[in-house]
Amino acid sequence: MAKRRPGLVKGLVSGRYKPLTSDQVQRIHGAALDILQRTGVLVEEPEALRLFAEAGAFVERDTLRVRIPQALVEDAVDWAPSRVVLAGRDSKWDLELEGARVHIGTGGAALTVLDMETGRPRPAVLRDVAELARLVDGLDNVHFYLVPVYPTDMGKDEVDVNTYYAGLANTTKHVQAGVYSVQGIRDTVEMCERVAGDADGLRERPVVSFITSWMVSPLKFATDVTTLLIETCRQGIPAVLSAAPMAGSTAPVTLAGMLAQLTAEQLAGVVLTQLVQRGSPLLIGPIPATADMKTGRYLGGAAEFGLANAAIAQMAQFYRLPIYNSAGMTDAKVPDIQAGFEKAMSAVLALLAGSNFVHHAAGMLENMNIVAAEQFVIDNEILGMAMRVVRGIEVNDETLALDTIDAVGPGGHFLMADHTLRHMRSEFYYPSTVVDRQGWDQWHQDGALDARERAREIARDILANHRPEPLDPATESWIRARFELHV
Amino acid sequence: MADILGKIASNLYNGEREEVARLVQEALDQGMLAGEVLSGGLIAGMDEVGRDFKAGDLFVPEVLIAARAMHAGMDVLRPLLAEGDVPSAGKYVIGTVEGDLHDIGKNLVRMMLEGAGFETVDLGTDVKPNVFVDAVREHQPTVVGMSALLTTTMVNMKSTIEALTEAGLRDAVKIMVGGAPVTAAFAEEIGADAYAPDAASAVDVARDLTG
Repeated sequence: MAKRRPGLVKGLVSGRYKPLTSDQVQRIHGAALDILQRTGVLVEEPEALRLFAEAGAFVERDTLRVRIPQALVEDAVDWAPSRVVLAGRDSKWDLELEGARVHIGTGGAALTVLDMETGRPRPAVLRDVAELARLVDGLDNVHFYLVPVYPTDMGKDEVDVNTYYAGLANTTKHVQAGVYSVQGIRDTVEMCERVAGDADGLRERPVVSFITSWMVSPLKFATDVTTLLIETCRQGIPAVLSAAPMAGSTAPVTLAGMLAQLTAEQLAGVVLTQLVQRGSPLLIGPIPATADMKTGRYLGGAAEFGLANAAIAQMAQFYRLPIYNSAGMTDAKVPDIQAGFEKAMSAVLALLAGSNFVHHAAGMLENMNIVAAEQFVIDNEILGMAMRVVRGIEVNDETLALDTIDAVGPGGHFLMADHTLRHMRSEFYYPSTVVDRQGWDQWHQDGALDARERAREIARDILANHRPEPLDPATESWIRARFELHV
Repeated sequence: MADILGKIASNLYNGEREEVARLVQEALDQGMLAGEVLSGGLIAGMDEVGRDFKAGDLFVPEVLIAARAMHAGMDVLRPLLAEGDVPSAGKYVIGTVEGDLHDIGKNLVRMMLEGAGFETVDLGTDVKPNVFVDAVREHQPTVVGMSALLTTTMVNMKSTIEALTEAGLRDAVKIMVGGAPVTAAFAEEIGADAYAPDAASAVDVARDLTG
């Protein structure tokens, strides 16, 4: 009798949670167009300005204000691909980003690691990029490796190729990170073409993608990063258009206004990428959040975070563009109760709304500032539970189990029914030992450990014993001969 | 007489800048001394704002509009105050470092400092080290504040401190740093004098460095 076990649970079609009605989506769309036509964006990057002007946008040369007409927006949205596949070195980790298919994983560029053994914070370094890749490679509910730390021991000229190497060599999942220089992009692409086989191979199955934080909200293109975005498009690598305003300080305090501004910003970015290269693969990257009105600080764990990220996913579905957004963050500094409830709430909401590529959702603390190894393990559990919810309930002849119900009859039991044996492993989500389900006495006998400590044990085990599939030796030696690697 | 001071203070608390300016003029027209209006009206109002803000009852935007109302009142008083009577907490040069265009945090710190009575010189964003150096020479501030949001631009805080040292100006100022990726440990590592995690504490830190 076959025991059905669930395979990797990723890429499920979701989208049932809709905080916005379709009228509201339309209104926000209209508002975004209004913003682009009335207020416009500020663009200093000369190549971008030239492209906008040539395409018929209204460019005010003295103020560098660019106003983008509706027709140009509509064309660009049309040209941008509705489906982008981000590949893993192992194709079982390929991510099909389209519609309301969901994937969730790590994120991005923290500077501090909360050391698992000492509990003390320390600066993140390149070795952490490699080790955390290995840890994530062993966590099945984390669907991709968005490099969670910025290696503070790397200079700007060497950071890109080293970061991407450390990721690719230590996990077979898709690797994504920021890029920091044009030469860094070119070096990384050259390395990845080797990893993928050749130039065409990399474009057909991109094992890496590049995040560009090109937008300084509100509505201002960051000049240097715009150059990097243009280079990414020219290289044919999928680009992420990351923008992270805060309602109340760099976006309107009301969520609808923030969504409208974010949408306008993203559409301006989509237009640019499609003017650089029609058909450029991209993920729009709107990350709505709120500012703490008491201090001005960024909030990653607020109730509004999950709600707004769910709503912005609806906007992406309206435009039929793949979206990178955020969930699973917390403002807690340690893996504690606050971390638990803040992360779980936003992760479930973002996934139920059909977000294609949800980042920041594993490993992070103090919103985007800190990572902790045991937090990746805890979050792996949250994501597993959330994906089970996304999976939903199958209703068919087999699952309605009428014959079994009749055979068991009133007062009987289901524990030994063929039907139970056939389905029990696949029907439920089985968490790791992060989740303790024993009674008090057993739990106490086992050392009365809390979830954080149980997660540490799992993290230690993965870090000690998990061996990801390495790069093939020829590729490895070619890369080492070609580039100066520090890991 | 005290009544009008109370009205100035409460209108300041509510951020009513036009009303504050009008009432300040009215108080002067009634024969009150500028110094009395300043301390009994404007400063009394801002003190209450400060207390309620620390207690978490007033939020940042409310503090900012109260400070703006205070400045409106100050504009009316300033010509009448002897130079020694114009309160200044100190002069503060602020900017976002080279390569970085993010300014909301820097702007918020600047506005809170102004609200606390600092005179500020805002160098904007993407400020090269030599521009900080020139500003220190020209304005002779007590404190220089640097902001950064990007991991790649934080390093320019260190270059700016080095530039000030090379120019022989390091000991003439106190330096404080802030921004989302900045930590107290980083501040210490680069030789800054202080670090602040948000705009409100930046004011307290600036006061400590000045006082």
